[in-house]
This record gives sequence, structure tokens and C-alpha cells, in this order.
Amino acid sequence: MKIRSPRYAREIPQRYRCEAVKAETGEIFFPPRVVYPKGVKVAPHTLAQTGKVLSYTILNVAPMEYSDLTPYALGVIELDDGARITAQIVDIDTAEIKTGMPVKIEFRKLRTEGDEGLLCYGYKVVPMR
Amino acid sequence: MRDVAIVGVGIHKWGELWNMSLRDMFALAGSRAIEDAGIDHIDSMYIGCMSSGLFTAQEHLASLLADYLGVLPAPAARVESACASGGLAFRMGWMEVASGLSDIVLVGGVEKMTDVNGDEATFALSTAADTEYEGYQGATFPALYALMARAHIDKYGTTLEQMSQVAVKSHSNGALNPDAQYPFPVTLEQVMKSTLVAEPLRLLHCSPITDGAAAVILVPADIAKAKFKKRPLVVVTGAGHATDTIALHSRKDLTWMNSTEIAAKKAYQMANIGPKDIDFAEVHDCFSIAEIIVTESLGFFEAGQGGPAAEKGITARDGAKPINTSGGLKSKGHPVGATGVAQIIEVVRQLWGEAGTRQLNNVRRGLTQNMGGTGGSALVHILEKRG
Repeated sequence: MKIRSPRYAREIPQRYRCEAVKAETGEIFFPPRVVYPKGVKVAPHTLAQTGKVLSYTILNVAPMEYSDLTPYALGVIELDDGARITAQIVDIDTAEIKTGMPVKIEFRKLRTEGDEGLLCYGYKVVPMR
Repeated sequence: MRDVAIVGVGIHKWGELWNMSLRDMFALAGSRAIEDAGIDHIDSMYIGCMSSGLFTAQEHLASLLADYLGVLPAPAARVESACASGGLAFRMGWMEVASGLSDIVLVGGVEKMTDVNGDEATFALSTAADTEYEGYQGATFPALYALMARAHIDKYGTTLEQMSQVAVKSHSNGALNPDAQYPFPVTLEQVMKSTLVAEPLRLLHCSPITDGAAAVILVPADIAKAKFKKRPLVVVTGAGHATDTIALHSRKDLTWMNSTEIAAKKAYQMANIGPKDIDFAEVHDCFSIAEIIVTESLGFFEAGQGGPAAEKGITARDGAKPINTSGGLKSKGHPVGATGVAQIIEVVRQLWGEAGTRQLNNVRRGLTQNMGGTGGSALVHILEKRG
């Protein structure tokens, strides 16, 4: 599949710097949106960098760009500010992963895309020790 | 609004059909539905298809399929809502007949999935999730449903045996369906020892990659009563449609299908009935855990009781609430755009008394539930036998 760099570049603030927005009610929108529910005022917010594993799985079959990584762990992570993300859980023996486990976000390479071999970065989570 | 009846169905043997193209399969199912209804024309046509572009590099199905079905210049539209595309096409056709705009509408669904290899098919399907925030992180559909399964296990104590029993039950039904891709039984042990795909989901908890098409013919109930007398009248009495967040992680509860619950409530309200009044159902068991969550979200069982219900045989063919007598997506196959239409066909055949060796006794009211992605969209229809 061919990915063009503008599409990648648009997501850099979220993927590299975890840029989100937070409503006065405390609700976090990640990624930020163009429109919000009526009456909701939002301010810039950086996602909490620590959280816990809400649920996880270990993939033995992956899409093309991730085939080399199998088996790898993927989780729904609830961050300490209440926001939730989907992220790979790395730097741990997959047999040791448990729900509720504390993790933190790290900046990592995710994959290479397209014929040009665009290097793609973003967040993964690692266990807190 | 007019009452709408189903007066013809067309399907074919599903599977890995190397010798059949997308247009061949659609024309086969569509022409069988037209012949089954005994009609000489259609007023318009809706086609459910998720991703003919990624699977076969072909878009513009309205023109292609109207041409190859031989119904030019009938108006046609292809609709997409991921794995719920077929259910959505049915809703569009129902709306067009109910509104009075057309009297004879063909609703079809089709997906040609084996012209690409397994990795590419996995990728194409993953576009039904949030491409930028789930797919980018390495998520696949088995993985997303595995995340739901783990959460359901943690919250309710659902067991792998219960999930596996769903697949055993589906295959026992599919073994009696000559159109099924995998028409054979499997044992609990075979399911529980099959290859791990995305822990805790194993291969036999997952619906397969399938080539297939299905089609039905809709007419107003008044016309059906007057001109289509050879079979019992089967009418759409309830229809519901709802959406939810595309990303699984954005849901408050990973163990519940909000879009299915809301679509079902709308359909029950329209039909003026409740979940207890449904005799049997075809639901979207893309993964065994999905059938468990969906039967709870439809109100058939309390939250957390979908697993025990499967284990006790309540959802079996001879149980109190038979689910997926066709074999479901698991055994019958899951050509994503065709699935929602094939669910309608199974319910209609059961109500007509034409379901062969898997025929249920004394059924009057059936439900279909078809959903897209991890439940980002859902369609529910209730069909009733009249007279």
C-alpha cells in the first residue's frame, strides 16, 4: 500500500507529542477534532504519559507492515488522565503482561510505509518498573 | 409507509471461489433471486459491498453489476458500512419500497476476498477500524475482538469453553446448510486446540475469508398478497440502525455493543414487541465473542449471560432461542458485503418453511443483526410471517 507523506505529517502532533484537548468537564478528545458537542469548551492538553493496561492481546497474524514483528502485544491503555489509546506493549515478555499492569508511553518507530520506505514513528507503551 | 414483503431469495455455495469473479457471483445470486420471485423486471437495486476497491481494484459497482445482471438501465446504488454493508443495502431497499418510490427492488450483497493474499485481506478488513489510531498501531480485527474477549472474561468470568461452544454450535448448524463454506461439525477440543490468532482468540473462534453473494427481492405487502401467493407472506415489521465510535478504545464499556442495543430498541419499538417475542435470530458472529456480546446487547440474555447461554444449549437449534441456524458467519462464511443479506435469506427461509434439514418448528418471528467493524455501525431487522 502506498502512503503519502502529507497524511503522515498531519498526525505528527498527536503521534510524536501526544497533543490532545481537554474539555472543562474533564473529557479528553484524542485526537483533537474540528467540532465538539455544543457548549463544550476545550483547551490544549498533553496526554498523561503513564497509565494501565485495560485489556490486551498477543497477535500471531498481522497486517503487511507489521508481519515482521509477530508475535506482538497490543492493548487498550487507560492513561492516568482518563484518556484511552490503542498501543503496542513492548519491552516485556508477552507472557508477563496482565490487565491492570502500570505502563508508560515511549516514543518509538512503528513501521516503514510504501515504496519510498517512509519511516513512521509514534507511541508505544512499556512496563513501569 | 407501506409494509414491505420479501418474495424471492438467491444465494449460491460460498467459499474460496477461484473461478468466479465479483460480477459472476453477484449475477448468479441476483438472477436466482429474480427467478425465485418469478418477476420479469426490477425497478431499482441496492448493493452492499465493503471494499471492492482494495479486494479487487474495482469500484463503480452500480454500473458494473446492473450491466452483468442484465437489468440496465435500472437505477442502482452501492452502499458501504463495512461488514454491515449488506444490512444497510437491505435497509435502503426497504425504505424505497416502504416510501412508495418503487414497487420491486433487488437488494444484493457481494464480496470477493480471495483475489488478494491473507495479509492484504487482513489489511483491507482493518480499514473498518480507525486507520490512523488503531490500524496504525498494528491492530487487526481478530486483535480488536480479542481485546473485547479479554475484557468480557475479566468482567463476567466468561470462559474459553463458552466461547468455543459458540463455534461448535455454529458448525453443527452449518453442517446442514449446503451453501455454507465449511459445512461440517467441529468438536470443542478442535476449537480449543486450533492455532492462536490473537490471544485468547484461536482460528476456530474467527469467521473465515470468503467469496460470496446473496440477493433478495422486496415488494409492497399488498402486492405480495395479491401476486406472490405460492408462499407464506413474510413482512419487515421492525427496522433499526445506529452508529458508535469507530475506535474501540473510545467506548466506555469494551464488553457492550451500544449501536446494536440502540438499533434493536428501535426495531422492537417499530414492531411493538420485545426481545422475548423473537423466536430465533441470525446475528453477526464474526468472532465467537461477538455472538456472546451481541446476544446480550440485543436483550436476549442479561449482560454476562451470553456465554452461559451458549454453554447450556439455549442458542442451539433445539434450544429456547436458536441463534445462527444458517451456520453463522463462522461456518457459512463471511463475504463481508453479502453477510447482512444472507442473514435475511436464512430468516425468510425459516419462516417460509424452506430451511431443509435445519428447519425450526413453529417459528413466526425472526431477527437479523448485522454490524460493521467493532460495532461502529449496526442494523437490526425483524421479519414476521403473516396469516
